[in-house]
Amino acid sequence: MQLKDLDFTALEASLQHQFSLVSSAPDLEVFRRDWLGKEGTIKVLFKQLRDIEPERKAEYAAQLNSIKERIEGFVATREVELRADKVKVALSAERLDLSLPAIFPGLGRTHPVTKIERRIAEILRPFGFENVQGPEIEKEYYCFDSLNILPHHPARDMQDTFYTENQHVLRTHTTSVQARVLEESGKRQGGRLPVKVASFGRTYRNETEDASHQAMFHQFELVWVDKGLTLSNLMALISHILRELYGKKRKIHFVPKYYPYTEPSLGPQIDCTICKGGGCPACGGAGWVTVGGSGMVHRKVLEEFAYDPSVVSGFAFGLGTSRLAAQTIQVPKLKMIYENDLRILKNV
Amino acid sequence: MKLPIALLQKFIDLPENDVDLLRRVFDDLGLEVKAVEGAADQAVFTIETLANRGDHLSVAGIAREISARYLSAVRQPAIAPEISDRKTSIPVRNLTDKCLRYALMELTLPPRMQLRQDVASFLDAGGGKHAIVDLLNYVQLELGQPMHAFDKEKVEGEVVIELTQKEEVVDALDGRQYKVPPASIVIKDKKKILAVGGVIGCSNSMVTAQTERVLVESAAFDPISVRKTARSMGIATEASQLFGRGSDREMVITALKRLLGLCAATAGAKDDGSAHVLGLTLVDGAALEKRRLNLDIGLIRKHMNLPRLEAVEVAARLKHLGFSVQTGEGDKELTVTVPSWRLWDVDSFQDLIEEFARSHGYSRVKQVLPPLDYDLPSPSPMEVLVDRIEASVLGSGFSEVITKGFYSASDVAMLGKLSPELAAQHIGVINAVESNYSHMKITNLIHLARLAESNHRKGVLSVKVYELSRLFNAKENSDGPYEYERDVLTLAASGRWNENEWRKAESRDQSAYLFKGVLESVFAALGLRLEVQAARYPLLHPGVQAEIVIGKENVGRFGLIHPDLKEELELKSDLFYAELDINSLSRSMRDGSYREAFEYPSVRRDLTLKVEPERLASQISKMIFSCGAALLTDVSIVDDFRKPEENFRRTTFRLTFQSGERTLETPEVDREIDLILNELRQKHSVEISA
Repeated sequence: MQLKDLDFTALEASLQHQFSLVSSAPDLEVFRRDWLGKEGTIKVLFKQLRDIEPERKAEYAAQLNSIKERIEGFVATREVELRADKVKVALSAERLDLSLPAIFPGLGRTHPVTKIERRIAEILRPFGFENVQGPEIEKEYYCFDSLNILPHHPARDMQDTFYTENQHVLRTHTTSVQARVLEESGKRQGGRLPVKVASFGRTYRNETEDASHQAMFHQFELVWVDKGLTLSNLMALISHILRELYGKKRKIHFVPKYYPYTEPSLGPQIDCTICKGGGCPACGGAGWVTVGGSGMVHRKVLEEFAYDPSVVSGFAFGLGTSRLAAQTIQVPKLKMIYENDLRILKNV
Repeated sequence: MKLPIALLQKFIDLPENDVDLLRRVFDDLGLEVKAVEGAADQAVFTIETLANRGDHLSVAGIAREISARYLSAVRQPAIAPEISDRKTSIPVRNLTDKCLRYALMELTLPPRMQLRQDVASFLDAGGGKHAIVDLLNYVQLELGQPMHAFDKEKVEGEVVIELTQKEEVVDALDGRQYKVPPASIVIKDKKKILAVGGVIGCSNSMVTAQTERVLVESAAFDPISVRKTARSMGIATEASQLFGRGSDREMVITALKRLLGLCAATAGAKDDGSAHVLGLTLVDGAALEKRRLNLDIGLIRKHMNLPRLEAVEVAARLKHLGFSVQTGEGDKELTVTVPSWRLWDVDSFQDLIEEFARSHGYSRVKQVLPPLDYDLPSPSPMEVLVDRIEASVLGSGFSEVITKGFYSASDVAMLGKLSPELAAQHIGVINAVESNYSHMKITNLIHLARLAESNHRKGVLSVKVYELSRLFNAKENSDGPYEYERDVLTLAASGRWNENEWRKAESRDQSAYLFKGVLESVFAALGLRLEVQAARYPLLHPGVQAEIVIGKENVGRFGLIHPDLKEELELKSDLFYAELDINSLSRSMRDGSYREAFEYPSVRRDLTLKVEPERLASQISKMIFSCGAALLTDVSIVDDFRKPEENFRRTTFRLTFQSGERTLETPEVDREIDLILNELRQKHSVEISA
């Protein structure tokens, strides 16, 4: 190609065509080498400037520089484009289907009974109840005798008891923890006041198991002993707890009960969730469901632990947390709470 | 108790005609209606009464409750004015103070004695026994006084009430044979036991269609004695339930008079002259003292939050319940005499408060919350511990479970095959109704293994569970708060670690270290470092287990279930199990503290050492630390492998050296390495791997 004969317009057209032929990185490299390399066309043409008449040299040089800039611009742009294309191809090859399952150890759940226990503890906390624990293999004294449940008392029929080889019983209620706490507090001079404790735990009944009856289940119980506590206080506290647990709009009702360690004894009831108090098979037609037991601490229990019932009064309230948990997660049978079916436990 | 509403209406005007509304009244009075049969006047309520209220087991007792609520009158049934001045032809002797009163009435029966239809309609199945027996049952239903009839011709000599000296065997009226324990009240003639007092009569003296003359027993027995006997015999009759709760001594004669009244109306005895009283013998046992109690009206006002409550209302309700009431000075106090039928359960002012509150209605108590407390107690150590570890276990995919505290005898035998010593430490339960509950659990491994297998069968691939449980041991526990039990955190993992089948299942080794990782996470949450040492727990795989220690204290163990136990339990999958003592963890847990982080760069060197297969790598780590290299700040393990042809493992330890004062030079790190290798070689015979 001779500069002096060069038709810049035709060259321009030719370049456009050659640009369109560069479709890959090797094409671009060949194109760059052919035009911009040491032996490339642009270098050769610049060398031929010396053969151009002096008065036209500037004109030719300007046109050559313009062509060179166009080619350099094209190479730079195309290089970026081709690199981007390459990345695009590479990325598409590296694609992960993120809809495939995760490598995930799963998220564990606390047991429904634990959830209920914590909810109750949370409700009680502003009143200053301390959580206490006690043994499950218990002395008869703490389980029965100290609680005014004397041998052959009718109440011992209500609580069919497991007896162990080491002459103890499996506690039939968490009230035995109450007895231990009152004994410990009563030992202090004049009796430490207030006594305000809650106990959550496993309890045992020696009965044939079925869908609704379990030999081991969970209970919660609170006891509060102080000067001036009244039946009115007890009922208000229970109403507060039950409304927090079951819903603010639930109707609450108290019926007479008999427990040897409380007097008076009351059974708190809530309106049946199914019939709303109208009576249905689920509530035995009563319209109400008894959810626990309560009462003013019996004077004989106070006296047993060196408290003077003419000065001090107290109340207790307990409920079955297993049953409450079953109701909360809406499993139809109590025994399902203890079947530990992870298909259920992982979803509640 | 089955209560025909029509019979109740004979005693009292009912406050509600609607059965549903009437049921609410009953429930509100502590007379829980378990079932309702029939409608309107024909309704029969099945009532569950309170365990201390014998007086509720009668229509008259229930009428009294209703009357106290509505301050309405109770109608008493017609009774014969007198019985007889003559004694029975058979003498009666009471030789025990457990029989509080005993009356025997001798009566001739009219031939073909028929029960009146209106009476029969109130009895179960319309009666159907001998008419005199049906009448006795009817009187019991009305008045709550059980009575019994003997065929006079079958009673020989005198009637004696006494306690059995030894176990006796009787054939009872229900056709069954019972063993009567020593010290039970029995009614005997000169040859045989006629009845077990307060429990059941014997067939040897039962009334039949041929009976022409009867001896009707009406008595009051000591409730505890009756309960002991009935319980021992394994029987619960209506009589034993009533006497066991405490009957009314004064009702003994009244009931006989009511019976006579009914007999007269039933048989027209005076018309044909064949049914009449031949005699009555009454013997008394120990007398019960009258009980008077003082009741402070202010106390009731305070308890029920009814400041305007008047003494007159309290007195009126108590009177309707049968109490005698005298008003004290200024209406502040009442003197209350307890009726004969309530001597068994009313003995304090608290009882009287309950009597009033029940009849007044608990729904009328004005409730006031006790004050909130601004001096809140600290959470218990258990609560603190659980709060700290829970995120670790839940985040690792472990769900909480609750298993029962029992084993069966066969479980104990199964454990005994692996460890007789362990099996001997179980605490037995001597009277379990369920045969699977004959022992208390000593480990949670069996329960969690069965739970895992059960879940796998239901299609759960990944079973990872934990339980805050109690374990029981016949050996007394000197360390914890309880004598025979201790709180433990137990964990188990079986099946896949992840919850899907997409990736290849973890190998046993991977599962073991993933499981250990959860334990490390628990320890880290408690501010502790998990340290282990060799262990020999018989229920775990001998080569895949470790004891967990804090300092010198053994706080738990973990490992793979023993293959023999896995086979016994028919597990299809491996199971890793851990057991941590909560008391020990609570004692040891601590908060994190500031530790300086050096600015100068650290230098890492890897040492591959030959380690005997039975030696724990963690022991070598400790040895390296104990070599005295002052600049050594950390030792971690980065590789562990064994060539099949070699009798040692090659374990690579990564040692980190760092100074808080300068950048370390290579020669000083080399000197530390030489020191460590010399010490390992000379003191512990540990060689570097070529």
